[in-house]
Amino acid sequence: MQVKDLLNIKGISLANKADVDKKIDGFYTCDLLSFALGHITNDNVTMLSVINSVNIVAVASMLNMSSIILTNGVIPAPEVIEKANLENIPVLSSNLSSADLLKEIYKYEAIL
Amino acid sequence: MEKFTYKIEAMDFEDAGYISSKVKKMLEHDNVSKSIIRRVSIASYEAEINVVIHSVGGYANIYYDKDSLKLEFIDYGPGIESIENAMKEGWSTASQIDRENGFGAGMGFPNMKKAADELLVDTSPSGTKVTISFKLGDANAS
Repeated sequence: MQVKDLLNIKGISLANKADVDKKIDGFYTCDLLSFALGHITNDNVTMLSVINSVNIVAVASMLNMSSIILTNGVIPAPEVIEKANLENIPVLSSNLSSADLLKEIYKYEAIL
Repeated sequence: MEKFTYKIEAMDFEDAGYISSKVKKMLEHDNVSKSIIRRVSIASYEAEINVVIHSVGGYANIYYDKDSLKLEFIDYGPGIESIENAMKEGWSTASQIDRENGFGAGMGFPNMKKAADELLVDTSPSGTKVTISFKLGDANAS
């Protein structure tokens, strides 16, 4: 799966300019960055979260994540978009909760 | 051995991670193994964030050669009240603002300890020095 595939899922939109051809090797949902730092063990993970802060972009960059999805209707802040553009990390958003969005993603992944 | 020094401002969330990002790029440039870069990134980011969140400000010294990397994060206080507690998973003194920025999991020092080859913490009310060391011996492995 690639980041651009996520854009085919209803309600997911892209908030910045970054490489959507990046591949996704797993998902992680978490709202505490140190948990992400301590538990994400591979590259190319897409993280679902409500943390609307430049720090999520910094952590995504540290861990070579493929993209970030802000859930629950959180609209990415301008500074988040700016930093994500600099780091070339796609930021997506959705009105669904992280749990409900993952269900949709897995349903879509099954038909890919 | 090369040495770099960077200043760290208290509560500057915008630039938090700058040093860790610099170090990561330096190691990537020198083809250090991915698994080591990952461990360095985790530990250095946690240490850098700790200075931003918990201290009045400080700086970092980076000592680097082909065999080893040593990161010193030094701040001007107020010190860690209980190192024993700080090493426990889930223990945190983070504020509401820190939590809104995604911090306060109480995983900072546990993550550093797990990621580093050696972690030393020296603290008093006038400041804290966190020294994180890595062996880069198998630098050409992937």
